[in-house]
Amino acid sequence: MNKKDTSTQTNFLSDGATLFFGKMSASTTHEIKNSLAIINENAGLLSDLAQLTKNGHSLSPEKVDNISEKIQKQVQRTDLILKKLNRFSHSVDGFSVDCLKTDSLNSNRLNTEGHRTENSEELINLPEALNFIIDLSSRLIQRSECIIKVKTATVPVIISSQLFYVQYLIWRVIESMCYYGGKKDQISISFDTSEESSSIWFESNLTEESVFKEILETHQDKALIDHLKVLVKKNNSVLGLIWPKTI
Amino acid sequence: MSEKVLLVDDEKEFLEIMSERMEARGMEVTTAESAQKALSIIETNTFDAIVMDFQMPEIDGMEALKAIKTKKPELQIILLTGYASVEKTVEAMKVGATDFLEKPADIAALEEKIKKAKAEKMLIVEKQSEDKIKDILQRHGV
Repeated sequence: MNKKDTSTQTNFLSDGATLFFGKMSASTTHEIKNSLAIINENAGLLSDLAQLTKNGHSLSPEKVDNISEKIQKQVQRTDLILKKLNRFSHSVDGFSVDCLKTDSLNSNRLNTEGHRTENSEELINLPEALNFIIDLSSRLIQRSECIIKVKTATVPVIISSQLFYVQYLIWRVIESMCYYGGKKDQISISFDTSEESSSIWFESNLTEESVFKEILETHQDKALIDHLKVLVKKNNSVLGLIWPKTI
Repeated sequence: MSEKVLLVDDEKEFLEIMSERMEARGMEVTTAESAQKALSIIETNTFDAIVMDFQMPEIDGMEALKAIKTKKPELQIILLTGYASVEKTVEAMKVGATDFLEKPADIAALEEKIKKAKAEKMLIVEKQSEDKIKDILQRHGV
């Protein structure tokens, strides 16, 4: 790959990564806004009730308790969403901003001058990464009316890679299957590990073969696949992401 | 006369508390947890205003807005949104949204917008009636 090609690839990778980050942030912050709206209305209701008591109406302690519980529930919900968002934001820790811009695609272990370094790779528990992305994007998945079933891995499925990009790749498969596959799509996800590789398998009930063929075929997707050095296998309506252990 | 409002949001708790507060202010509130349900409710009911979340499952806010406006052009729709971008606001206004309100919303501001929407709807309905009468009279050569 010449320098120009590498630069184009890097641009595709950074554009896609930015879109992914934006999409996850927008979805989670929307959820926070919803939660704040409920807190706001409950506080408003307390204020309405206070006004009524000033005008001589009696106030039921049970009603106040009930409102207080609702506020606490929403505060806990917001806290959980923020924890998830914080965890997601930290998944880019370990590589500098320049990593997204420089020609680091073919240089897995460069120096600290803005390139990806050895430290940026970490051991990733694939089922954990998958469940986290499903959880983080639950609102988006719900909007697409897609049903996702994850088969629990019986043994640890560990890879060495960059967490942020692995999450991005997992999301791209889910997004493609859920959004382009049509409503009420069902995806079954399972894992596999052997001495040679660790893999994650997505099985969809997509009926249109042409749609399935389009999955992970954009320039951004290809740049991401190259960057992660992952193998993609498609067979009928099954898609596998395979991380060879020899690399 | 109280305002008849259809409140649409996929957050059940938000619907409950918001409708309680709106009813306490004398409004008559019907709730729907999805745009799909809202579309079915407007088939058989009339409202002075629809207050609708812009981002919901099943049908996207913009699609829902278009569908409602196609079915009942006189209906006034106030959109509630987490984040109102200028582009989205302009697009929604072009499609026929009456107003926008960002979440968390101020109930006094919402109440004011609903009253304004009701007045607007009444003008449209009056105009539609006048046009119908004119049409009948014209057809009879009066």
